[in-house]
Amino acid sequence: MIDLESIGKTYTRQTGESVRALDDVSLRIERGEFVAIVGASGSGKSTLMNVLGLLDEPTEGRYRFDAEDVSNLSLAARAGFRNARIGFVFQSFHLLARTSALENVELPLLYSDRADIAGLGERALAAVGLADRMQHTPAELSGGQQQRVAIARALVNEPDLLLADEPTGNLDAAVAAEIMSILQSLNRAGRTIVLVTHDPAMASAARRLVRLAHGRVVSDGPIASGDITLAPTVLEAR
Amino acid sequence: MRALGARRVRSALALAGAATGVAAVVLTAAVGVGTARRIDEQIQSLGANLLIVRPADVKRLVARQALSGPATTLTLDDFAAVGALRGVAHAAPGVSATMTVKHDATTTSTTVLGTTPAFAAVRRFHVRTGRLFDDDDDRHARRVAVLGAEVADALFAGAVAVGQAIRIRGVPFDVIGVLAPKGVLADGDEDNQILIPFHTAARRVFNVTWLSSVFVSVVNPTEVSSVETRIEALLGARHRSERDVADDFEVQDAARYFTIQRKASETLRVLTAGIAAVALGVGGTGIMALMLLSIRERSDEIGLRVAVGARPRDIVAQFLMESTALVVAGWLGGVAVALFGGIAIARATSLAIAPPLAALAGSFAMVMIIGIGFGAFPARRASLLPPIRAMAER
Repeated sequence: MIDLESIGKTYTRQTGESVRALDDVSLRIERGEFVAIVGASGSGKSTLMNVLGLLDEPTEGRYRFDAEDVSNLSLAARAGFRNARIGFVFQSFHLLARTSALENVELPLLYSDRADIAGLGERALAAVGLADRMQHTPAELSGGQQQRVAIARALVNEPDLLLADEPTGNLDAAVAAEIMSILQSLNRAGRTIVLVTHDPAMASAARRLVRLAHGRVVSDGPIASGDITLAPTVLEAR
Repeated sequence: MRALGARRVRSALALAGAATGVAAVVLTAAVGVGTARRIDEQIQSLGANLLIVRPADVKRLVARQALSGPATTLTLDDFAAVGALRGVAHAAPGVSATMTVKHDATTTSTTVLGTTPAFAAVRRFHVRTGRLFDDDDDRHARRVAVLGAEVADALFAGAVAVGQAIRIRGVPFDVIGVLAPKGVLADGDEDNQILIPFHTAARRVFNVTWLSSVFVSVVNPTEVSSVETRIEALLGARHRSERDVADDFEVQDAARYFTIQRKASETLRVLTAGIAAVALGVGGTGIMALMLLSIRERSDEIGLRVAVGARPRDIVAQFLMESTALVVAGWLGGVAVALFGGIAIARATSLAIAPPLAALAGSFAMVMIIGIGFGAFPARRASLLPPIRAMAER
């Protein structure tokens, strides 16, 4: 489904210094995979996530999504593509304050040209177990509940790809495990998920591990679900 | 809308700022337009074609003592000559002084004017009750009086005045009529006077042979200044032939007097409109600051919206709607304040108020420009940032 070919990304800092965030990254992700991308800060994993999510353009290489070349789409075309094909979950939830859970979940539908949007918000909230919290505002929800609202928002438009950037970074261990199990069950139901994290315990929930260092892929391989023996390797990467 | 509600205090402040500016602009313009309109009405009611000849103040030597006062050289013959000039519709002579007038035990001080029946036509007076004196009354110097509306109120306090007796400087008069008031349009003194026949005044009350004024109405308002020149030439020639001195009379053009007043009020209006525009500018700056601040603060929200698929124009439309709602509310608030303020001013003072259409339209255009400019452009800039960077800018 996703085919990155020799992707490079160079930033220019305000000081004029250029930073090579991604260097010749090639990566294929098939439909139904659950991939964890790990790496130390500055390894390029956030940049890779932005490129995968069409939030940022690569400076080199080619990005094909379902055989469609999306490397050089216009701003508006990328916005439309994100809206229809990709769901995002962020570390700090990014819910609109003073806005009900249901309205937060329905936000992407505001920018969608789909006609059949009735009931999608309710269905997505029910899928993350928050059918009884639809009218609550973020301030009235716990951290774990807020992240579940954010997951429902990512799923509301039935995207091909779910991108999660440190989704448990702001949550305590018990709640984090709960969020990971939601992601796992979504994956078991067929959803393609890319998880960006530095936390080995969280990465171990995925089925494939891609490790980045200095903007390059240094290892890429499958992991058995729940295989904690991998943890030291991931720790080393930090 | 919710976002504006969430920043209630700040929105209210920005809104109040804009409303104050709009109210200042609209209110000063309302006073300006009202004043200009009243001056026009005054000119109309007075007669746009009215000229008044008065004796000039001159210095005389009486028994080696310098006295100053009006010249005593304006005569009935002068009046007759002026009345015969080309372009003059009506002319009326006048002798007048401020005097104490008495009815039973009630006294009042007012201007007593001796004149001819033509005066009513020249000064556009109408009789409310009774009648005006006629040429016959004048010829026989009858002691009849027509009261101005204010004088009638002062002496008779609502009771019927016609048929009653009054004393002017001790001389008994019969009241034969009361004039209709000119009201606020008049310069104030026009309703506070008593008219008596010219000859009655000259012989029985004032005992003078000279005139204190000649009232002239001109046939065609466009000829006012040429008739004025003719009167000056005529009287100049008549008087200088007797005494080789400077002009001992002056010709006043009522319309010109009001034109000067109108120019003065227009200057004032431009000045106050400028100040009001500054106030509006300050109010607009408040809205501008609010929008800039709110867009900066909400770069997080903008980033999220962009991430989930909002195009730049969706973001611009959203902020445009918010800022437009804000400025329209501010404008409506300002107009409401101006409306109540205008009513209050009209009630409490003698200032005239009229709806200033240009200021309404102008202030609306200005707040819309502020709203659109400072709603759309920062939002557009924010929407073009990569969404993740926008989110990081917290």
